[in-house]
Amino acid sequence: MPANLRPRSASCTEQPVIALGPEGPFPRVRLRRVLERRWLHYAFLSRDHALGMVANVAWLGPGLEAGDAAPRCTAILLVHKRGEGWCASQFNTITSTPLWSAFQQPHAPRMPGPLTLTSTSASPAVDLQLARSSRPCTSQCAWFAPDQHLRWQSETGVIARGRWTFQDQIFDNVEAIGYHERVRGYWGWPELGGWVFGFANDPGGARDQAPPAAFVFTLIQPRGPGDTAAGSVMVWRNGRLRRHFPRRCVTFAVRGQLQRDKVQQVPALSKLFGVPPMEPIPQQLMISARMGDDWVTYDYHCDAAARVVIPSETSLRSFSVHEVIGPVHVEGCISGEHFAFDTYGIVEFAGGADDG
Amino acid sequence: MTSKEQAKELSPEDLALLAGLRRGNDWLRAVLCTLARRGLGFRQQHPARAEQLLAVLSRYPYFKAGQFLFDLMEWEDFMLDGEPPPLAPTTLDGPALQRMAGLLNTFRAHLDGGQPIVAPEVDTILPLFVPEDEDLPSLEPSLYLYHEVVLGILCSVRPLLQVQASPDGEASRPAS
Amino acid sequence: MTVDTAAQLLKATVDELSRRAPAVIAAAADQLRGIILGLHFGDGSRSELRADHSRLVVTGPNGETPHVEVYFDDRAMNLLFDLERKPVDQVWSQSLDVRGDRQQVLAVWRTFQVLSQRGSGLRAVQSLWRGYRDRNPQRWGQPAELPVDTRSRNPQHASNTGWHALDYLDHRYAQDIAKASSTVGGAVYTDARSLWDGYESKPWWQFADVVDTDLMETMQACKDRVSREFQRIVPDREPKAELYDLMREYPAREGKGLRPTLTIATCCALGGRDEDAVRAAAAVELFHNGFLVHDDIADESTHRRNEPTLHEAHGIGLAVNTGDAMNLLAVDAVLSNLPTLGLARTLGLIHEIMHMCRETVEGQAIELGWIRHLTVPKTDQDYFDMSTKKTGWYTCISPCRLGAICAGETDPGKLDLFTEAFRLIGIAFQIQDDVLNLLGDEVLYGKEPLGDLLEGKRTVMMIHLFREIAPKRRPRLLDIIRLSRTEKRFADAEEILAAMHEVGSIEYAVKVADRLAHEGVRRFEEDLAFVPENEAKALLRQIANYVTTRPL
Repeated sequence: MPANLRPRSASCTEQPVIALGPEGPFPRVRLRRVLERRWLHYAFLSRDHALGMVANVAWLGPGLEAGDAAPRCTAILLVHKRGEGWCASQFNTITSTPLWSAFQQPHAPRMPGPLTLTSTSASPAVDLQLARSSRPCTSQCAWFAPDQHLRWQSETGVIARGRWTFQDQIFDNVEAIGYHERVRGYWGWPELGGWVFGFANDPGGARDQAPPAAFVFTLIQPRGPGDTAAGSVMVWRNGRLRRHFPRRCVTFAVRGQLQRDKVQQVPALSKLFGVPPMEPIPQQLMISARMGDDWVTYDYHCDAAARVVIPSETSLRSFSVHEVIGPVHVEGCISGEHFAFDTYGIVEFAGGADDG
Repeated sequence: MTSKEQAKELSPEDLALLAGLRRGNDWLRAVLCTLARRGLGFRQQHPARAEQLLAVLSRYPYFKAGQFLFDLMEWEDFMLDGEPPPLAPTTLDGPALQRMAGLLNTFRAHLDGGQPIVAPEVDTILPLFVPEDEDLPSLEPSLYLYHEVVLGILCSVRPLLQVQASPDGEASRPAS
Repeated sequence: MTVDTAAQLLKATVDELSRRAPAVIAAAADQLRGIILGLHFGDGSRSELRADHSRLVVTGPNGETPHVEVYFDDRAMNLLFDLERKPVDQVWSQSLDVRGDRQQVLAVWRTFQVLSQRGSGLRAVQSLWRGYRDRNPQRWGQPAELPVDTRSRNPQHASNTGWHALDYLDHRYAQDIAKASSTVGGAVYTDARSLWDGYESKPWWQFADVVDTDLMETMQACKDRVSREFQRIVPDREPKAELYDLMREYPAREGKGLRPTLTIATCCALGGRDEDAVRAAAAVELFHNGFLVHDDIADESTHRRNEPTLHEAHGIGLAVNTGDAMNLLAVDAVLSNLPTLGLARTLGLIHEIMHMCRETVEGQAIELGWIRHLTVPKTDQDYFDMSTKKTGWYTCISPCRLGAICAGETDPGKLDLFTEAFRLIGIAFQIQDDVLNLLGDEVLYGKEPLGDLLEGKRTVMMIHLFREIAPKRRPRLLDIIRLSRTEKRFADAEEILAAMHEVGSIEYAVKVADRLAHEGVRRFEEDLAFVPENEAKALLRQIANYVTTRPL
């Protein structure tokens, strides 16, 4: 039984005598409806960019059948090795308990905590010590369709050290830096439409300190005619969120198409079903944001992608999250302070569940 | 750290202070959840009206500011977390609204000395307009609660605002 | 060909487009139909352009009076040839003069639009024009100015280009002439597009339509990709000299790569990956080669692709065995899709391959029956039916259907939509092949000259000949075609060819092929409207049009 399906330990659920707010990462309230969702998302890139990982632990409200009262939990882990592609688990990755989250309070910065994710076939796997170096952004919410919403909150600059398993290769003491996010809400995939999301951390600076600069962006593109896109670009400097560019101040553009052979479909079981053809992934993504004298650009080239096929509860077509790794150049100026860095970033292009 | 260990580290003064904060917190949570449940009840009874109201309000700068603050303070998690609080009808009942109407009128008088925001005759009928809090639906994590809170506020203060409507508009006439 | 003058550039462009983008040529020819266009370039060179069926013919002035005459100065040539700048920036007053009937002038303008707007998207055409520009800078306007350091950004730059992401992509990255190293895709330019400009959202998954691509380059890439897969599938073990080396050597003789391209392109057009289609494409090649080896024995052919047939070189026994082994390995290649494509698609592939093989052997049986019973079928339809079975399925129809299955399309209704268009195109292609066998250059065509006549093959020309020839001459021709392959002399074949010329059989066959090809293109556009307009579908379109435009 995956660890995340087991009841949470007492230390996790005990309410302090003097509680002035939620302990996190999610409010203690039962999921009741079939499209209620909660996710904890993790994405890391090793400092040498040779290894990358993306993991998602998801809870979905109970099914429609009578007596099906328990939420369903799935967890998937993808590990990427540059030049060798992706290695992915099914949706039953075994997770450590409690799941590490920067949104669990109280949470001291730079105090490492464990996160273990292991495929039932033992590969891929990660056994990490995670530590915060930065502060989260404001919780943000996109609502659409008209009674659905997706709420997310990001924290970048998360430092990871530990063991990575890719196929039959084991890499010890890998130093990585990445991103953590909590997502919750109520939505169906066709109504959600799709999103483009990603981040990049400046690899410079001290290894146990926050990255000198970090960039996180989100663009949610609902499909309803009356629904407008929600999006933002955020820039951290030395662990603190310095600028939040709202949606009117950002633009996104793409060019070209990623060679299809660079896209690997996961999990393996998805190939047994009638999964519709994949959408073309852009080759290049450009984001610019400007507010007053502050500006930032994110110039990203897609290099390798994994298509994670997620069954849709309300449509015949599955929803696909394309996890993409590639080089990126970030440059900007915040409060008169210019910065620029080249690194690798992880971008998600997600969508495809609409039957129409 | 467990809650008992946590309590051991704090002085009696700390604990008293925190207990006070918690009381205020509990009150705030009860008020927010009551508003949200009223809003939800209104939405369930008048789905089209609720949708239209939200569509109009979504362009209102104060609506956007409220949304930003609501998200910034993570009130949704705060409202949903743990056992649902009891209803807080006493803080949002007829006399409370009358007190609020009085405050608004005083405020307006101080500001420009013009017409009162709330007409005296409305003042007397306010209790009739206070929503019935019995059988309000409970909150669920599938809701974007900011919308329900906004609708709840509208339900609660609608009588205050009716006087502002055009004299020949249908909305300005009290229900007979 | 040296491209020093504007007239030479136009001819080179049309030649390139004929090979790389037949659909563009067909569309341009459609506009120009019936008009002789005289072109006077600023460098003093001249050309004439006219349409011949779906082909464009460029010649020097040949004395005929053009219906429309166009005078360019050097700068106006950019209107036709420069993708990097908009035409409106290039047309200066007094730089372009067009004379002729109003309707014909408009038709000429539409022809230019097709050639310049659709043709200029091809990287290969851009490369040709860039070479001309570099060699003749004095005849060209100022080059488009690009920043020296295309990666550097700063507030100054932002104020120069605006701050939108679209501007950055348009202004900071020069269009790349070199094709991306992919099998399908990257042969044409695609503009940057906005996903979010602060107010309007366009889903990332909605790409602009691409209606053309580079047929030649992509076909070569597909062929190479499947050849590599073919070599991988053939085992590296003994007996090499008597079996596996023969198998490895045989595909090296393969032709243009039509089948692999159809399979990969259809897979990609429906959203699949090249990688998903290569094993199925290699399997078709293995079946095809297995059939050819056996076919050559049955036909007593001596040469294929300019080399001795396998049984000629190694004896009938080894050849039969090698053909059997190829069919066996083909089954293996189809089954090897299980771990990658999964059970449902692999079963679909097996079903389709079985159907393809059944059609092929039935077609072969019908044709061999005609020869064995010394009969010539009465109607063209008999030939169409036989040709569809014998070659249409494995050459055109099944490769497409297999590609669709590889992409995950297993709905029989959708798969059947590929059948009619490619059935017609397949027959037209086969008739053209038969014509080329009579008229074509052996080196280009790859088969022995008049081989079909020596074999006594029942082609549309042969059927027409026996239908149209005077009854008193029929017995003599029947006597010739009843001779066995070894009994026939080259002079016998030439006698039949002369009779065909006499009654117009070849012209008749060309017209039949043309009619079928046009009907096939029409069905392609109608039946396959459900396939999204992407570069892979553009490739299928080029193949469909290739039949209408290839030189005969």
